[in-house]
Amino acid sequence: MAMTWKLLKQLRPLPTATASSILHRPRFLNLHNATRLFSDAPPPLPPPSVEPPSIPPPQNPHSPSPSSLNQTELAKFAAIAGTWWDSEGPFKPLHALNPTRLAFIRSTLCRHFRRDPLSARPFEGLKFIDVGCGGGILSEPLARMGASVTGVDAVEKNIKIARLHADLDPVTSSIEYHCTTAEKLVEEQRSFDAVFALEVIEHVANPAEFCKSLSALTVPDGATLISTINRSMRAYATAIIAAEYILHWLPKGTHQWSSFLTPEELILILERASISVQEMAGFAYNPLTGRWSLSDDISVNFIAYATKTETSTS
Amino acid sequence: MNSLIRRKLVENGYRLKVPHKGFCTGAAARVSSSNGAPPSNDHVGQQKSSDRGEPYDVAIVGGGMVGMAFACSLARMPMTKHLKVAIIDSNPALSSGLSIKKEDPPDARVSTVTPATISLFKDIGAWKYVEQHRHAYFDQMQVWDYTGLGYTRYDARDVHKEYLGCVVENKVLQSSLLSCMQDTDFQKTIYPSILSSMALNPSILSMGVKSTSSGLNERGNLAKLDLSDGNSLYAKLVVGADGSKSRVRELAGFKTTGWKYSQNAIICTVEHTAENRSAWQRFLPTGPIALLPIGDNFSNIVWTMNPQEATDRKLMVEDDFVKNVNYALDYGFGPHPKSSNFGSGGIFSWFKTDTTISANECFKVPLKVVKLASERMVFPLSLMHANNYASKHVVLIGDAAHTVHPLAGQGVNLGFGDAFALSRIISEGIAVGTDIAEVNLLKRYEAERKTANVTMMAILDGFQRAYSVDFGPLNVLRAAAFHGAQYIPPLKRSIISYASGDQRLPIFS
Repeated sequence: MAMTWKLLKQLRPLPTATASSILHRPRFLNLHNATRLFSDAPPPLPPPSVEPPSIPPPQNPHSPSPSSLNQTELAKFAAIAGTWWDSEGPFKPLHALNPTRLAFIRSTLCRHFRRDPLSARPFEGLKFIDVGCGGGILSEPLARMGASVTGVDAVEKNIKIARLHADLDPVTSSIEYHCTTAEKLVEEQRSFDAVFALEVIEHVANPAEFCKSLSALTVPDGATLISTINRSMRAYATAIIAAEYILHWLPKGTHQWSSFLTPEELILILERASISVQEMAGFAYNPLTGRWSLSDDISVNFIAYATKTETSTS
Repeated sequence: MNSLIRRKLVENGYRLKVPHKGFCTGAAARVSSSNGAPPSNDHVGQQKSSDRGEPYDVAIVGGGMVGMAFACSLARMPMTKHLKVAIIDSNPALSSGLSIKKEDPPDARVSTVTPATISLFKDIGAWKYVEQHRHAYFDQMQVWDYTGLGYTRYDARDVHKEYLGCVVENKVLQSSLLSCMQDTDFQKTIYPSILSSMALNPSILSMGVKSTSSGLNERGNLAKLDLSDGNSLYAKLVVGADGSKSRVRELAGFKTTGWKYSQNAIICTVEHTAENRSAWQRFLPTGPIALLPIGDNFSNIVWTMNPQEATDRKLMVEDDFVKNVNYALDYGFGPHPKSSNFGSGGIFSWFKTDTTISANECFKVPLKVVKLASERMVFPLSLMHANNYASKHVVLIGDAAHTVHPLAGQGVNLGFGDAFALSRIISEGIAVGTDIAEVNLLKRYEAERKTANVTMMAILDGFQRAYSVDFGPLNVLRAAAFHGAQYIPPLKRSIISYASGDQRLPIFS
């Protein structure tokens, strides 16, 4: 909490027109053309890139709102979709990280919804949505903790795999999986008590619009949880060089450093979407034990717990 | 088999499709409702699940001390007390509540419970049940060998504790844990049978399978256990607590490493004329003899020797055996070690400022055995360690995972450590919504316990080898070890702490 206040105090009050010039920092790698703009002007659509034939066109042709999908990113995930539940495969670091981020989620949401932290199913009766659910790695534990979970992902293969795996256990077979986007759900006027977008926002074309969609999906006084990787030098060394090139935890090219968000930027775009960040935590990896733990160090991986404030202009 | 089940089920008024061997609910319901304990929670029950045979969360194969400790620990922790558990053990006493009367003669099968284990029991509220039956705390221990060159005395006050351990009969531990469990709302069902075969679903997901909503797919992520009385049950997690000849370990295909010791142990209860308040262990040429107090003037003897002598001693007349025991404990095979007086520790006298209380105690002769109070049982001894403790849906605890030489009374304490560690890890897993059958979770348990178990086993094996050779220089080395342990306080405290289960490594902590 104190850390969040420190971050917010560092942000100078800015008129929106110049926000983009301050936050638009020079980037070292500019491998893809989608730029990060945080002004309210409609962003340019991502350029058409090489699409492997396995991805079905996800866009609804007559949708007025720009989609936050990034086709190259979708292609990367579709290629390794079959290995989601192989805990020794390309998603091994995510499986290892999962219990740690669930610990943060459990602690913050039990407080938020005022539930008994010693109960085995504290989220009974709550509706959660996991945006960018992938194979359901996050959705299944949330369902086991009692929540009614909806999982959405833009890659059809992921949804198929998620459904197959969830059907193995009666507790998780109640999860609803849909191959759709956050924006479409907003159009359907769905709303949820808590919205999760973990390790998604760095793969999205327009983070600001994405946050607005997440906000629209959250009920007033609901919770939003977002996790991503910080755009810092340490993150470049750790999450890209070490994880992708040296340790081979992730396929090369999984992450683009320029797509990472700093905590300040994330807080700002969430504020613009009427979501105020309450707590942040970082994840630290101990190479000796091979386990992740929560820490105050948000310089590489971090997760933010935020609540939706009442909007003055609704 | 099928007709037997059909008859039982028809009696209860059920109609099940029989080609699928019915989930044993009728038989289990009757067995578990027959004990006098609070009724509503034990049986799966006529009311809820009988027709569909709800799968269990955990199936514990083996209702001995370690299996019961695991079940009781699950029953008492907030995250796990809602789990549905099946206990498979063919001991008929288990289903009828294991009642023990005060006048019962002491059983020869006892265990020394270390302070670490006692505190684990206290954490789940089970120790107060143990104290209602016969038990014996001891605060002193003496270890010496037949060469008479050295001895070590340990005292609980050396480490500022009140006792070094407590000796309790195995059946007392088992029944205390069962009573502790029955005082909760824990849903457990006892199957008085033996595991005959097990089917574990090997693959996580086969991509080509269409998602159907038949019961088969829902069972896809469960282990199926077939029992020898024809019943079957499904469970997410199978816990093998069925002892050194574990069927679960065999069926799950875990390989083991180990060797047989060329020694057997004779175990029996003996009686004295006065209360014995100390533990004694003397290393003889063929193996150690241990005398442990069990309360009320009784003591337990664990005497390790080669198989031929074991058979001879088992068959000899009682009086001769008693004479043998006194001979072995007292002046047989070699002289008494010389007691040292204060200040004559020689080179160790510079530790004078930091001596332990027991460093100043003289050598004492154990209490004389007056008569034999139980039959003599003989067990072969071996060292065994399973290469893996866990794989998907299966995990091993206790003797099923490892057996050790009884010379330091650590065997069941390692097992209790396993049981409590597994239940804690399952609780942590449930807190973050993990599937309890998941390998990563079970491997965390394995990583934690393997180090502790293997270290202890290596040390005990080392002792066993060191004390089984009668060779001049080695005898002197052992004597030096005795002197060292007796007169170097940090070493003695280290040894006591490690044997009490309080620290993880013997020297370096």
